[in-house]
Amino acid sequence: MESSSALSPLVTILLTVARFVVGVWLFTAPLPLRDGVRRRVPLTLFGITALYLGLLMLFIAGGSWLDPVRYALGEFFAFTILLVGLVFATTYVYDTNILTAVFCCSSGYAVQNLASGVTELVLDLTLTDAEKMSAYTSAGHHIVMLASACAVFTVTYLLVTNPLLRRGLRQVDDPWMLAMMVAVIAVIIGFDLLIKGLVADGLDVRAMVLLRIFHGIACVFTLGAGLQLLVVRRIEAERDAAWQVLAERERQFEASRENVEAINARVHDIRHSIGRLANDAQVDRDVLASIVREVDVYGTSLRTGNAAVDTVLAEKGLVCNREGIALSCVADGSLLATLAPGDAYALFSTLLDEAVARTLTRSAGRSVSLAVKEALGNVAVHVECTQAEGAAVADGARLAPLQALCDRYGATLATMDEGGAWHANVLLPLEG
Amino acid sequence: MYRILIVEDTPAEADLLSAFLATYAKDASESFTLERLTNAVDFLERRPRADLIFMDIQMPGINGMEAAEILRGYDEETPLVFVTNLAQYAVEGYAVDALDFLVKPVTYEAFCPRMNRALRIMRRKVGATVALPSSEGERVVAVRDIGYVDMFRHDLYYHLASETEPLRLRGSMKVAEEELSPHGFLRISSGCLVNMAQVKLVRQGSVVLGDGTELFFSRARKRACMEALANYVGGSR
Repeated sequence: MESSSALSPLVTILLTVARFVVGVWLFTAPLPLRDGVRRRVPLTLFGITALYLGLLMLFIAGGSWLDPVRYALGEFFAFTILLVGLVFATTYVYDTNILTAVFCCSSGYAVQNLASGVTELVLDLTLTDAEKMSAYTSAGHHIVMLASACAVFTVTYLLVTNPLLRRGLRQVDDPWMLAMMVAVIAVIIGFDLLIKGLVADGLDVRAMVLLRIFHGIACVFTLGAGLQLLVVRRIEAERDAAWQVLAERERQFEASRENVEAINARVHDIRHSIGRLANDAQVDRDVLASIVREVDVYGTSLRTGNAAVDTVLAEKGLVCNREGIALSCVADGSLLATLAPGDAYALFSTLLDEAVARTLTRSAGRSVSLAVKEALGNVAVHVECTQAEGAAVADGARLAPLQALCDRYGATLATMDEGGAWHANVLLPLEG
Repeated sequence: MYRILIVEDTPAEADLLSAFLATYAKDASESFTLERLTNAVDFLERRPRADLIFMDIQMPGINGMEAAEILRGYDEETPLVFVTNLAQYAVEGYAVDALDFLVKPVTYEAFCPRMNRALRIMRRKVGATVALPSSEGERVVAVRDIGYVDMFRHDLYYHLASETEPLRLRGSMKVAEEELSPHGFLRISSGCLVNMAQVKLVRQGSVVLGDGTELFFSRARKRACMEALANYVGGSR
C-alpha cells in the first residue's frame, strides 16, 4: 500500500460515511421524499458526517488503539448510535414512519457492513500487521473500499432495490422491525468487531477467512430475514384485505339475491295485473304498452344457469339501463359450478363494476359485454367495455381482491387496457 | 378482404347493419364484401362461405338459434354475432359458440366493440405465411401449419402439422419469437414457442396440442403464459 497523504484520513472518513449513506439509500429509494428535499438532503449528509466524526473522536480515537477491548466497545457504541442517527435522518428526508426507517437503516447497515467485511478481508489477506496500521488511510485502502462497496452495492441494487422500485416499499408497521434492529446491532456490529479484535490478537489467516465468510453469511441472512419479514407481512396484509372485501361481497350477494327475487316476484304480480287490464276494452292499449316497457326494465332478468351471475346481471342491468350502457351477455353459468356462489358473485360483480366505471368515462357509446364459455378445458370469462381514451380510472384497486380469489381456484386473471377498450379475461380450470 | 354475411328478415335492419359495416370499414381501413340473406332456410341450403355472420334470431320458419346449431354441425369456427329484439334470447348463444349479440335497434356505438372483437378473431384465421431459410433455400410455411418450435443445441425445430419430421433450421429462439409472436405464438420456456391456435387443452403447468403433444411452461414464464392464453381464449388478442 502507498503512503498516505495529509488528506487521506478525511477521505477514509468520507468514504465510510458515503458507504453508510448509500447502503441505506438502497432501501429508502422507493420511499416518497418530504417537501424541501434540497435543504433536507445536504443538512442530513452534513449531520451524519458530523455525528460520525464526533463518535470517532469520542469512542474510537485518542489512543484507544492501544486497548483492544476499549477500542471494540468504543466502535460498538459508536456504530450503534450512528445507526440510530441514520433512522432519524431517514424520517427527516423521507415521508415515512419510524419502523420503515428502522427496516431501511438496519438493512442498509447490514449491506454496508458486508462491504466493510470484504474490505477487511482483502486487507487482512494482503497486508502484514505492521502495514495495516498505516494502510487504513492509504490510497490503496481507499481503492479496496470503493471496489468492495461498488461490488456489494451493485449486487444489492440489482437484487433488492430494483424490485423494490418496481413494486414500491409498503410502510412497515410491524414491531418485529425493532427486533431486527437489535439483531443487526448484536450480530453484525458485534461479530465484525470480534473478528477485528481477534485479528489484532494474531488470529490465524485461515480462521480469519472462515470468520469473515460467516460474517458475510450473517449479513446476508439478516438482510434476507428482514426482506422475508417484509414480504410475508405484505402478503398477509394484502390477503387479509382481499378476504375482507370478498367476505363483504358474499354478504352483499345474500342481500342482493333476496332483493332480486322480491323484485321478480313483484314484477310477476304486476304483469298478471296488466294481463287482466288488457282484457278490459276501455283501457288504452298504448298506455298499457308503455307500462309493460317500464316494468320490463325491472323484470327482464337474464338466466345463465348460475344464481350468482343472474343476481349480478339483474343488479348491473338496472345500472346499465339507467346510465345508457348496452349490456350484453352470452354466458353458460352452469360451467361455474366449481365456484362458491359468494365467490362467483364477487368475481362477476367486481369485473362488471370495473367495466361500468370505465365505460361511464364515455359520454356516448357505452357498452359492456360479458361472455362465459368452455374453452381449452377451462372456463373462459371475458368482460369487455368501451372507455374514453386517456380516461383516469382507479386501475387495479377494485380488482386487487380478485387475485386472491383466482389464486384459490387456480385461475388466471389478465386485464388489457388498449385505449378505447378494456378487457378482463379469467381462465378457470373446469375441475375445481 | 373479409366476407360478411347478414341473415336478417327485416330489410330495414339489414340496411342498418350494412351501413354500419360500410362506416366501420372506412374507420378501420378494412374492406369487406357483404352478402345478405333474408331467411335461415336459404342460409342452410346455400351454406355461403363467410368470415363473419350476423344472424337475426327471430325469423320465420327456422329461427336464428336453430340455424346456428345446424351451422356448427359443419362449421365450428366462423364467428357468429346474434341480432335480437330481446337479450334473453341470446344469452344461450354460448351453446353455438356465438361471439356476442346486438340488441335491436342496433346503434353504431354498440356495433363497434362487437365488430372490433370479431375482427381480432377473423385476423387470426388469415392464412399468414413465414419464409424460413432452410438448407434447400427459402421455404414458405403457413403459420397455422406450425404447431410449435423447439430448440436442440443450436438448431430450431419447426414442428409442422403436415409433416412427420420437424423442419430443422439454424437460428436463435429470440429471432423466431420476434417473427412468430405477432402471429399468436407464445414463448412458454427458453427453448419452446407454441402456436396458441394449435393448443387444445390448457393445464396448470402445460399445454396440450391437437396431436397430443404436451409442452410444459418454465416456472419463470408460467404466469405470463397463462395470462397470454387467457387473453387469447377471451378473444382479446
